[in-house]
Amino acid sequence: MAELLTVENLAVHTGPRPAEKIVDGVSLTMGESEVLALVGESGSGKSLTAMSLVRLLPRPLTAGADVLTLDDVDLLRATDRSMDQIRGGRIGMLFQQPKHMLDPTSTVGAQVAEPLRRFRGMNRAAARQATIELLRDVGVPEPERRARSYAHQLSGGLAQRVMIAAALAGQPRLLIADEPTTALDVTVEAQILRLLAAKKAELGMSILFISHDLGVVSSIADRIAVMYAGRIVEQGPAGEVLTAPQHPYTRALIECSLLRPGPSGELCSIPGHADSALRITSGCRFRPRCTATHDAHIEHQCAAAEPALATQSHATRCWIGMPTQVKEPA
Amino acid sequence: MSLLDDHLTSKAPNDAPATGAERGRGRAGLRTWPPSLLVGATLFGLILITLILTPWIMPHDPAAQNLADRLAPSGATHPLGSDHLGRDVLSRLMDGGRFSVSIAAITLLICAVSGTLVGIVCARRGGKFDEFVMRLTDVLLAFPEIIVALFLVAVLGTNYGTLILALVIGGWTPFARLARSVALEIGSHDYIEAARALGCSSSFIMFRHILPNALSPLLAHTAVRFGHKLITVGALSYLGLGIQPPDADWGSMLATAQPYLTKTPGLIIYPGLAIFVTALSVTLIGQGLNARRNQRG
Repeated sequence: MAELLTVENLAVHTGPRPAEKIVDGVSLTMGESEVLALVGESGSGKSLTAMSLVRLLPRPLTAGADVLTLDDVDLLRATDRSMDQIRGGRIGMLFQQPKHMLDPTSTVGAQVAEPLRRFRGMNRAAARQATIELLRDVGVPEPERRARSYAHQLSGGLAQRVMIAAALAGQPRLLIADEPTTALDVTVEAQILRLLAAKKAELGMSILFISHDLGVVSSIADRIAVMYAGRIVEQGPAGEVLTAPQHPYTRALIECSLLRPGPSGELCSIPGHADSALRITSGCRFRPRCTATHDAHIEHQCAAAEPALATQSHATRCWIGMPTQVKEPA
Repeated sequence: MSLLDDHLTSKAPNDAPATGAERGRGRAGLRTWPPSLLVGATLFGLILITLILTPWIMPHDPAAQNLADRLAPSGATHPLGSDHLGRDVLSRLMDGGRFSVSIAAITLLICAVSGTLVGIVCARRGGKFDEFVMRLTDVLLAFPEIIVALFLVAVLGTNYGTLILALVIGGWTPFARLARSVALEIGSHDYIEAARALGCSSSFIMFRHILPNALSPLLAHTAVRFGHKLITVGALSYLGLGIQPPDADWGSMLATAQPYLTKTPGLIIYPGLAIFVTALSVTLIGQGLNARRNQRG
């Protein structure tokens, strides 16, 4: 499969280097027409990873990577001006709070028309017509009337449909969807997910889907990458990761998402906080919260180092189950 | 209160869903105008109409002297009396008003537009440019406008252009500072980030997203500054730095009337009143605009 997006060793720093790394060693590849889900708790760095792809990190954060390419474009070397062309053109974006993402003083139609005029060179009249078509296409009822509405007159679900229309207007190859359904209620969430899946199939674009909700992810993702404390801890085909998780953190996340009471009658939770993991400088970052049973030999390894993420299709950063002879220090 | 929240919360009560979608913002009609806006707009409208029609409706030639009829009290020929050269006060007031109000309006327009642009660019660019411009505004704000005007008149001589230049040099700074702070606030909203994610260039974001959202506080500020400008124009003319005889404006009329203060107080009262009422009317408009903004927020 041809690679659409290649990310190697991406890091996000808290300021001008040298500074603390809050995302570290993230490597991803995405093929054409593929949905990769980036899963993790709040603060695990999944949004920062996505924002650094399109150079939209909030100041003073900075990002660096060994390789960052989309199609044949080297995003590391792209000028700021050409990034303006890539954002909205090759890469579309969706966000968590769709209503906050629309300019309150501009009509919905004008905001969908912006990328049409910019990336497809349409004149005003053509863009207006195409806007209405796009809005109808993403399931906005009465698109002629809705194009003249303002953000505050829309429901959350409708606003997200408008954002989808705006994101698709530039005919992106890659859609970055940062928790696009988190602010919506469950029935609307299902509609939006179906819409995204349909659009993906229709346009052949890839989706980088960011979520903390494994239930949502399971319904849309082809592959899953689980992030913890700024690192990818497990990556693999969605079915395998969900049914046969290898990393204790993934296992705990899945357990929690089932909302099934444990033996003591309480809902599952992972003890401890993710933020404390950033202070761990050596060994596995999940170690303080890990509930997996280790034998003494592995325990020693966990404290000493974090295993590298292997290149095979389903890989994990956990010593347990890893063939020991491969990583045995000489 | 942010503009954004404004729009999220103002949804429910007065927007019936059917008509609400078609109705744009702020077309609520005169009834919801705050009284200060209504009074201010009416007063200022009347003044403007009078000044525009002055060449056709003023009773006398404002420069025509009649020494036999000097310092006349109010009467049939001179509704507001005549000055020390027998010129009709009402006619001079109307003719001079055209100068006073137009110069205040022109300088204000230049200040508001340039200050707003500079402020928004500062907020979006940040860094050294921003720091430089902000320190420049500090320096300019430290000089009173009168001092700047005195200096310029000494160098360039008195004329319309000098006066405008003197008022613009310091006048743009409050707009730049206000626009910068408003733009910073708007820039932190999610929809600006979304616009960037949609590939909008920074100039597009400045003019199509930030400027429209910053407009209402800036308009209110513009109206408030108008009164200030009018008074400064009056003060400069009073000091002899403005329009030169035989033309008149409100400030120079006050200056020439000074020796006759006790004998014919009307010569002082009427131009003073003209400055006061005009400044008041526009200030009321500004306050009304502010109040309306806060009503919505």
